[in-house]
Formats: sequence, structure tokens, C-alpha cells
Amino acid sequence: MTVGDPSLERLTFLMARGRFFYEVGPFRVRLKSSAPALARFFHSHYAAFPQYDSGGFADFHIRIERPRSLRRWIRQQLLFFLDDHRPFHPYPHSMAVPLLEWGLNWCIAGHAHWALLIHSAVVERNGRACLLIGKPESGKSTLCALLIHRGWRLLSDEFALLDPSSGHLLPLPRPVSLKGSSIQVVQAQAPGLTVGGFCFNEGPNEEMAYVVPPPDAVRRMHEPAEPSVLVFPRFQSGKNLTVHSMPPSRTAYALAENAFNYSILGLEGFRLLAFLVEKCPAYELSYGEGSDVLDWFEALP
Amino acid sequence: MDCHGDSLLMAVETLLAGLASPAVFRSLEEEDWDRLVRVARRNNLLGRVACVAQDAGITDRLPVRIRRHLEAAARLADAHRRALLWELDRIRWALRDMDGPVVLLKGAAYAAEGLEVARGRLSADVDILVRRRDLPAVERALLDKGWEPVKESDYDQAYYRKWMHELPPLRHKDRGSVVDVHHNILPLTGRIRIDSRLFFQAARKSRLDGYLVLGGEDMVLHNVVHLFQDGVVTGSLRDVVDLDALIAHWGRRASFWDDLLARASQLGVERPLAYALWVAPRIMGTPVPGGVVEELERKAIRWQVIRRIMVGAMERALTAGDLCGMGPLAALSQWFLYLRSHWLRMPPLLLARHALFKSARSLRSS
Repeated sequence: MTVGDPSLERLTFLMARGRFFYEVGPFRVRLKSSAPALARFFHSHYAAFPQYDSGGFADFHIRIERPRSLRRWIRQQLLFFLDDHRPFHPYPHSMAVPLLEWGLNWCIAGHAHWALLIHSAVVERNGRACLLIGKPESGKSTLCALLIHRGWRLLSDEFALLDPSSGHLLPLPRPVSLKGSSIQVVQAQAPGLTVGGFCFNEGPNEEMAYVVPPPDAVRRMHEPAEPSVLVFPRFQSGKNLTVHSMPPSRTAYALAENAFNYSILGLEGFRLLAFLVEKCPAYELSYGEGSDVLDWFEALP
Repeated sequence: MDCHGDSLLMAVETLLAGLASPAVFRSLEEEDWDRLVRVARRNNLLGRVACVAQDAGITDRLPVRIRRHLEAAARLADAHRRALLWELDRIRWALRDMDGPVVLLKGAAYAAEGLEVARGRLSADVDILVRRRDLPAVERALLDKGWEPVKESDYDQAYYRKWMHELPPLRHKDRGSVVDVHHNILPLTGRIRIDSRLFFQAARKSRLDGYLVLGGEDMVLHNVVHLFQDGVVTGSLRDVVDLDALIAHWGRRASFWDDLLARASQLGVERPLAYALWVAPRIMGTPVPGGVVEELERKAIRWQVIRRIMVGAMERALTAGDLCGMGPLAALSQWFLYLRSHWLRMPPLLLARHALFKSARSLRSS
């Protein structure tokens, strides 16, 4: 059964009762929530993902619920729980979807130390995976969306999960998150992608939305890929594409800086970092609005 | 979620039974592991589970999803151990001009000595014990080398300095690691007063250069006092597991139990020891020779009814599971032990003043 199989009403019911389990990449998640926005989001953005309504082992048991105080009714808020642990401050009720997606990021980054976790989008073509590594605002999610529109397979928007035993990247094809003006860019340049789950983040005062993972990416989400190229993108409005090849020493530092659990993995972390640096050429990319950057990716071997 | 009291209680019991005899882990279904992993993580014991399961050769036969959680927990514990040993290296460097003894406590001591109890253990803070007269020098040296006070408010600072048995915690500005500098193992205001000179006299050289560690009996008694004075909160189950491992280690010495009883009497901590030796064998199967508990009870516990209340409350509070709140009895037990811990820590008038100040502050800040 997939998330999209039951009706939205049925999904809402299962989710409210704590009987909604879904699988994304190597993780199985149990989500309990009565927030209608979440049921709608799952029905539209996770429709092709496997779903279970009971049992077995779940990696993360997540609850998103309203506080038991006045804020349950006035200027409603939502709380995120992993088991009974609440890692974040309350969020406004309208932010249910980002709260879930960020919350799951937190769960993975803090617990999945069986893999090396790098803050990176990952796309793949012809069995060769390309990591788009960088801080928020580097434009990696926008780039990721535009590349999957051009036929690259989405492995992940947020994490590169490097499996120590195989040296392969494990897919985690969750919805690609877009912010502010990048929403219009993707809608205009990638009309084949479905963008939805709109909400407004009051803090930075910007709109947010999510790209529905293409069916092919979901169907192949248990099919790992070989890491082949490391790209450190930096978006600068009005710039033409410039590409600099990075020396291994700097690449290693940049990787360690962008890894969530490099130090936790200790010697294994160093071994994996060295493996990536030796195996993959690394490039620093500055790019602007033009499509020259996409052509550069097309020209990769 | 999963708020059926029975199954949660079973998860805590499975956890304790498995840590005592790993064969228990062999027969678990995926559903059992689901609850076990969560309860173990909640109680800071997943790393311990990972080590025990690895030693028993169970890990490799588990479904990959479960194996990964154990592997991750073992890695995290290993990272903590590395960070802890590095921190001890830095503290030794910061205190290099000091003459007075520096005794490692709890997790720091276990890791430095390479004791079995340290395996898979997550330790957040470093605890050290120094002589009271050395406190100013130690604090100055640490502040000078990059540590900063965590508690900024004047009230907190004054509270620690005047009433507690430690300095306000210090955090390193780059590494974020916290060190608690103690000059005794119990608050100055408490009902039980321990002469900390006794600890220094019995301390011995650590395997880690430049440090001392408590004697075996004192290590056990420190754990016991910590468990029974601080009130049972999340994490206390780990103290019982530590106690079990410490007794397994030091109990191999033929004179251990006689020495332990003599030391408890000398330090005036026979009552908490009696409670501990009641609870640990019941919930973890810790082996305690016949006669030991009886002797403690005869000496330290006047009213059987008090013992029964304490032990009942401890057991309930410890095995409450706390994945999604707990039953009313367990909650009551925790509340009772919490109140008791404050009662033991301070005279009533001081306690009232402290509570008043704390609640006024929390009202203001909300």
C-alpha cells in the first residue's frame, strides 16, 4: 500500500490515531498528528511512498500536536515530539509541514550515525551521483529541482547518506524544499514538476513550498548510487558561471565542515572523507540566473 | 502513543533483564525492539544495550534497521568517550600549575580507569573533586583557559557558592563541554554531611596521569548517594545500571562487602546504601551476599514502613518507562522522591526561600 492509496479522509484518520507509518529511503517513520495540513501534504507529496498501518520496527516515532494550554485555542501552535522528547520551541500552526520536515532532519542528523551524513543535495545520472554541498542560501535546492526536471534522479535534497560498508550513497528522496523567490524560478523553469505545500515562514518573512518527488525517484529509492562528483555551489545574482577545481586538502575541510556527524564517526569518518576526496573531483561553482550552470552539469562525464 | 501501560512496563523490564542477561535480547520480535530502543534511548542506555548485544553475538543476526540503531548508539558512546578523554587532557593542562589533588568522579573516572561500566556510556559533563581551599585557584585557572560560567544570574551564582557542593558549572567557549568542579559529593546544606577529606585520603592514582580516582567502595557509595539524593528523574535508571556494573567489578574483591559496610558507616550513608541494595537486586538481579542488607537495615532503618514506602516509590519511579508520560502512581512516586531530595538537601526555611525565588523568576520570564 502507498500513502496515496487510501482517501484523504482515511489517511487523516490513520494519522490522528497514530496508525500511519511511512517509509522513505532507509527510514521507517511513524507519524501521529491531527493537523489537517499534514494529512493533505502527505496525500499530495508522499503519495507514491510505501505505507503501513501497523506494527514492526519504526526508526522514529514522531508526534505533532497542539499544546495543552490556552495556545491550543488562541493563536494556535504546534509541538514536535520524538517519543516524549521535544527538541524545538512551539511553531505557529500554519508551519506544520516545515516543522515535520525539519523535525525529521533533526531526527536523522542526531541518530543515524551508522552512515556519514553530509548536508547536501544529491542527484544521479547514469549511475553517477553528484553531491551539491552547501549551506542554506547556496541555491542547492533550486539547482537540485532544476536538475531533476532535466531528468536527473533525485536522491536527496538535504542529506548525502554515505553507507560505510559499500561506499555508496543511499537515496532519501523526500520533497525538495524551496524558499522565497526560488519558488517562482522553479515554477517557471521546471513546469513538469509539481510544487505545493505552500506556507509562510514569519521569521525570515518568506514563502515556502515543496517539490513533489518524481515517481521514478520514489520507485528507485532503495537503489544506491556511486558518489562521483562533489560540487560546492554558490548563487550570486547576475553572475555568469565560473568554475574552480578544488584541491583535495580544501575539499576535505569543506566536506568535514558540512558533515553532520564527521567527528562522531571518528576514524571511520576520516576514512570515508578520504574515500570521497580521492574518488571524486570537486568543483566550486558560482552561478547566476542563466542556464549555463545546467549545461555545465549536462556536460559532466 | 503506545500508552498502554503494560507494554511499556514490559519494555523497561526487558531492557533491565537484557542488560543483566543478554540472552533475553535473542528472543525479541521487531515490535519488542521498537519499544526497547526507544525506552533505552530515553534512559541513556542504548549505547549500553549495543555493547551488551555485540558481546553476546546478537547484533549481526538482527534485522538491518535495528542493527543500525545499535551501531549508531555505540558510535555515539565512543565519540563521547573520546571527547571526555580529550577534555580531561585539556583540564589537566589548564590546572598544570596547581598542587592540590584532582579526583575524577563518575563517568570521567570510569572512562579514565577503563572500567566495564564505561562501555557504551554517554557522559555529558566532566565531574571533578578538589579540596575546598583549592576552589578559587581551580576556578581562576579554568576561567583563564577558556571556560565560562553557564549560570549567569547573580542568584544562581550565589546559590551555588553558598549552598551547593560544587562551583556553578563552567562551559568551554569553543568546545561547549561542561565541567562541574565539586569540593564535596553532597550539598553543604544537606542532612547528611560527609567529611570530604575522607575521600581524598582513600583516593588512589588514576591510570590517567595527573589525576586521582575514588577508592572502589567510595565509587559505589558516590553512585548510591547521587541516585538517592537527587530524586528519581530521567536518567536515574542508568545510575542503577552503573551501580550494578560497579558492584560486579569491585565485588570480585573478597573484602569488598565488609569494606563497603565499614565505609558506609564511617561516611554516614548507610541508609541510602540500604535502599540501593534493596532496589538493585530486585530490578536488576544485582548479586548481594546474604546478611549485608539485613545488617544495614538493623543499623540504619528504624521503621520498616519507611523502607517499604521508599523502595516502592523508587521501583515505580524507575520503571515508569516515560515514553509518553506515566501512570498516576509512578508520577506520584517521582514527585515524592523529588520533594524528598530537596528536603534532604536544604533546611525547610532555605528550601522555601529557594522555591519562592525560582517560581517568581519563572513567572517573570514567561
